[in-house]
Amino acid sequence: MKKGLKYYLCILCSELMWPGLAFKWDPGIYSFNGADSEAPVLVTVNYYLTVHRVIQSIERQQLKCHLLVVDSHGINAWCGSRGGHVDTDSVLNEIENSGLERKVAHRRLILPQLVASSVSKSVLSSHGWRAEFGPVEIDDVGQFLENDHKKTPEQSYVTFNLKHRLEENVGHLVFETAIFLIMTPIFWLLAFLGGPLSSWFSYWWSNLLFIVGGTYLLGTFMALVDPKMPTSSGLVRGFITGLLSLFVWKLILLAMTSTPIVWLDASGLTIMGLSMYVGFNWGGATPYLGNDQMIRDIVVGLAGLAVLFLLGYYFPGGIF
Amino acid sequence: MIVYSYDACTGCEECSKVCPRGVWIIVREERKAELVHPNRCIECTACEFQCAPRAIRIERALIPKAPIILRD
Repeated sequence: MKKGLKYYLCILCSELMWPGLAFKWDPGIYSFNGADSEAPVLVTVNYYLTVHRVIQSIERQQLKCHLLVVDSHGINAWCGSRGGHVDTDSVLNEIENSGLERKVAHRRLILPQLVASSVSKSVLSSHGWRAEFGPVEIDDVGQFLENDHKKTPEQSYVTFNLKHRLEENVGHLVFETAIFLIMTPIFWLLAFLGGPLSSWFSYWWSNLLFIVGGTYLLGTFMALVDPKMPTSSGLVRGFITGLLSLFVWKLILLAMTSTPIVWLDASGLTIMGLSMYVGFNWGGATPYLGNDQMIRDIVVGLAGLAVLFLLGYYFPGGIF
Repeated sequence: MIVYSYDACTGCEECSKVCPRGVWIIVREERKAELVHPNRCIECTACEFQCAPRAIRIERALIPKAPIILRD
């Protein structure tokens, strides 16, 4: 299946973290590789990128199956399920609208595992449909079907491999760069208020490249070393990365100049602040954090950024 | 935070099949679910939603707490 304009627009919108711009796939039933009335029925949700990747995988695995695309308002399976965009009624409605009962002789459905937070097997069963949750990754469905509809424990786990992490990282980098670009003229305008704020006039313009470049480096580092980090908290990861980056940055300065270095000057505080900001953003992008821990990370992270800001404000020459 | 009623569990295995983080395993000899990695839980509520005997409850707590296992 070819990747058209919609596919790339979906990628761009997801990288800008703008789900409202996500494209929808038309709900309904689709058949592949000459699927007959006995062929299994896979279920997915109607986020364009999700359906596109599911179809790609079906074609790659040469699966003889039907695909029931359920309306989730264009939200992906996991977010749609937790966010209340797809539930048992969505599946039942689509079964009725698509005329699935006439298309297949059996009454079995293979649901994506990540809708398990909102789609009830027992309610589907009371409507005559025997549903089961397939593996997390669509690429494992072929093996799942061959293995008599049994999945290994690993096939139930959400993975976050290097490819996923680098993809996710690019999304964050695009978003964070957009935020920095929006903030720059605001800081520039605030500089006109005078006093200590006037230093922002030149600081933000002259250091924007440093800030954006630093964000890219910090985010990429976090994506690469993710499995080695001792905690799932994005903020703590950001703090650890910040300390390492600060150490490396100051060692470079030490090698390049003969003047004594100040550890927590403007560049040092910026590195720590950026790293914590990238860290708690990064934490939210991993599948390892619950909502509560994410909120704690953001609250503590913003307080930490405020402390760094005040340190920079009251000690313009740096500390240590 | 996970609140798990051990006695209510029927060992149907649904929780372990739908958990994307490997929090649960099934002890076949006892036909009960067991929390093996509670710290991995991200409160997605899949296990709670699929648990027919309502043996699992996921509670939102601002301060993280250890899971509560209820036994007679």
